[in-house]
Amino acid sequence: MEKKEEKIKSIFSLDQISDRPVSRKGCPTPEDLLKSFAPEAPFEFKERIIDHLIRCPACQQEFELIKNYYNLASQVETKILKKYRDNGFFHRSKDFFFSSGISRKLVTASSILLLLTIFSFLLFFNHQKDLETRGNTVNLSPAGLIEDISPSGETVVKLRWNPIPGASFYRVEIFDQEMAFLWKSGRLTETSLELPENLTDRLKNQKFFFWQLFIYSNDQKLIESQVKKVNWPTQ
Amino acid sequence: MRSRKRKEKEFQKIINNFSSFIRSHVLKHNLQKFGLDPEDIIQEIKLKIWKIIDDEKNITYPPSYLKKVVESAVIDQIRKVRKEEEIFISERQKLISENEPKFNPYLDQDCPKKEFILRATEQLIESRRIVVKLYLLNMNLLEISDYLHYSQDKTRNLLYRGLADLQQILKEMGFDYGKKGRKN
Ligand SMILES: [Zn+2]
Repeated sequence: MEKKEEKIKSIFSLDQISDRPVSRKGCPTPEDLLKSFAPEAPFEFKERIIDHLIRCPACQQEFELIKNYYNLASQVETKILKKYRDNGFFHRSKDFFFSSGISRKLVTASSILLLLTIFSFLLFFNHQKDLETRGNTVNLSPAGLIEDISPSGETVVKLRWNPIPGASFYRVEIFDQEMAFLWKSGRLTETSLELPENLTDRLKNQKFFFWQLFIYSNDQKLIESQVKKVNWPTQ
Repeated sequence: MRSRKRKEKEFQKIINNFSSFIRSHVLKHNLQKFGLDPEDIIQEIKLKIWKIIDDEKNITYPPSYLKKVVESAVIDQIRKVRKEEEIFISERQKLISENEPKFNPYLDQDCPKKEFILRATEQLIESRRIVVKLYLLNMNLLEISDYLHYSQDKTRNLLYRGLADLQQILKEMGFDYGKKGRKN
């Protein structure tokens, strides 16, 4: 029985599909493909997407990609982030209270209650603040991030980008090849930046490095660029 | 800090799985020709997610933030490939003479078995139909449940009945399972 099911499924397998692209007119947009994963998307919408996918290997391939990206996100969320959210500061401070020898239960209980109130207020406040800044984070793409590296003599790295309408200032972050954070610029009003010499020297030990542009707009929104990888020019 | 090390290890494990998927996806579909470098994709996604994980105050990140990061990365990739596909097609179109019949490898004329199964699928009861289609699209039970927002029990029930129905219909239609999965 299972063998038969597998056989039927294998007929739909992507391995058999020719890689010659065809026009994608009439295909759902990538946004629609993503939207079909949302729990609140109407059933009819999901059904329409699935009916298309089952006849369109190109979209099927993208669907599979999205599925795996979501799997990644939910694994990170449940196996790492959630765990740390649950084991955060609150739990530690509770342990402290119980071990610190305050004997009168009433005092302890009411203190915890008070703390709880304060923490939930803080959490709520942080969350609100968060929605104002990070909640509005959008990805900038294509960002038009360009780097000029002096071809000979002393290495000078200059980063530049296209001006973004509505930006009040920019900030650049640099990461090494292992994606560890290295350096952050101050507030920039220009649309270019020459990296400091000592940073360039450190970067030269890397095979490549990454940079990312953060755009702060007047209305408090933060826009993140794509992460740009920079290979050193071959001499 | 021990917790950082632990997080790093856990993250590495998760990202390794994902990396091998991305590599094989890019290679399998020959996406390098569209300028997708699997290592770049992996690095970018690694960097972005690690920034969220490594933030000591990560309690302030709403869960939807990670989802957004991941969505924008996948959208970028898909857009890039589609754009390159368009260029490829219009270049090729210039080379192909007008009266040559248009061959569309994504259509299923060359895979009658697939068409046969699809016709059988359409005969399934509505609630079982979509579950079976998702199964054919290579989704497992958990993924189907998540996608349709059904409980796993409900999904399992619908899937098993749907597959049994499908086999019955195929049998009545005289479908030959044969040896294959491949065309020709
Ligand atoms: Zn399509």
